[in-house]
Amino acid sequence: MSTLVSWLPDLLEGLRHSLWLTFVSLLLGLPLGLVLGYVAELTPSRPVRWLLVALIELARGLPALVVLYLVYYGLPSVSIVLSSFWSVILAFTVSNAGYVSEIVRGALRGIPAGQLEACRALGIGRTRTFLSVIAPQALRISTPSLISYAAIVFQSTSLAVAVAEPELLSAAYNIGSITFEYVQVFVLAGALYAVVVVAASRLAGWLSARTAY
Amino acid sequence: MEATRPQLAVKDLSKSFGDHTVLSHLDLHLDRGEVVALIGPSGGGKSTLLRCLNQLELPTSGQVELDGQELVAYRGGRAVASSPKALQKIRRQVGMVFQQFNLFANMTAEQNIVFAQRAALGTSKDEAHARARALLDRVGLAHKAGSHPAQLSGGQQQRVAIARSLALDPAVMLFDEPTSAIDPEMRSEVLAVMRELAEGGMTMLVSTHEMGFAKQASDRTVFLCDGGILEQGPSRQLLDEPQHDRTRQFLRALAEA
Repeated sequence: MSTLVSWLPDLLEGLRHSLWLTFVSLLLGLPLGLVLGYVAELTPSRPVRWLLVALIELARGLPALVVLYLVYYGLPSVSIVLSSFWSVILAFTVSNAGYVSEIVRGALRGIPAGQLEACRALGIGRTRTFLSVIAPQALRISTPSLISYAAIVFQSTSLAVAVAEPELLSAAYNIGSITFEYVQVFVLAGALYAVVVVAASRLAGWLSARTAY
Repeated sequence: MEATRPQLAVKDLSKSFGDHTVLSHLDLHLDRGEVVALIGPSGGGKSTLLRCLNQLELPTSGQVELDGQELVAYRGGRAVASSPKALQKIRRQVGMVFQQFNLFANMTAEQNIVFAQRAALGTSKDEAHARARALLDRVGLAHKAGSHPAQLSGGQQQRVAIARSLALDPAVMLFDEPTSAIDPEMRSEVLAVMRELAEGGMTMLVSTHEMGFAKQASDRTVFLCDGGILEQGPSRQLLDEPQHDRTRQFLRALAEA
């Protein structure tokens, strides 16, 4: 028991770093995904929509680890060398933008077309329609999904172990390689992941119940 | 001549979607204060006709005139969307009530009416709220001002939708099967509001399957079928003694349903 406690500072430091990776990649991926999803869903131009949907599907279709390897090992061949931290951020931002845009598109589709038609029939302009009718409802619809997705991003940060980022799984791995108590340390790390993920999914459930009209 | 000019005139209006012709060379005039019921089988073009009047759809050919003003602009033989400004002006004058109510789900009844006024007319906050409360009172829903649409019955939602439309002070009101999506026992409260509106002198074009309303509250009934007007006349006369077999069939089928 006391050994487990002695590992905690290193593991918590790893956890802090995992959360930081999650936060930064979402900070960049969220707005990108919002814009992508909004334009892809509501643009009147078909070629633009197809191009964006193709990009979104590509970003979602590629495993995050493949993107990470492409960035970390591939980009240096065209003389772009990123630190392991920025490689993770770039790779995750690509995935995040893809997934977030899909969530946003789903939310926009969830708003009954009749409400938008009512806006047209009342002579209400597009900007007002978006700000007062579309955005508030899309936000309510998508918030639980976005929180659940953030929890998945947090879990996926464990992939960063592949490029030696000092996140939670790396910290656990290092402790294991010194003490050879792999099982105990991975169980403890797993529990830390689970605590965060379960808390996030509880938050998502609570929010969706609270914000129902 | 001014006095005899119809308030709303539909002239030689046609509308096709691809190869499918929905309306074919249709003419219809509404005088100021006239209430016209639009009846006919589903798919006969009632909805499309209404939607062409406030340009939710653009006609393929023909014209719509409101107080003598031509509403549909043509370029190179094709109807083109009016400028956003012109379109907003048309839509403020032509109110529309939908089958599915289409209230904004994220706003209360009162907020729906306030938002419409502020967004469409730029009404001040105080004025918009005062008018919203007066209108809710008029449709018998003052006590539901703070309820969201999801907390209201179909009949209540539709009355809020009517109030929201009236808030913009339209010259003409279009109703697209306003009671079809409402439980039978809740329909009368909506019809009562519409009847009151009719008695107050509003010019109304109402697509409906409610023959009782057509007979009692409308001046004229128009039977629309296969994209054209098969017959029209004073409501009581048309509904009691239709001239065409097709109309008779339709009315009989409706009575049996």
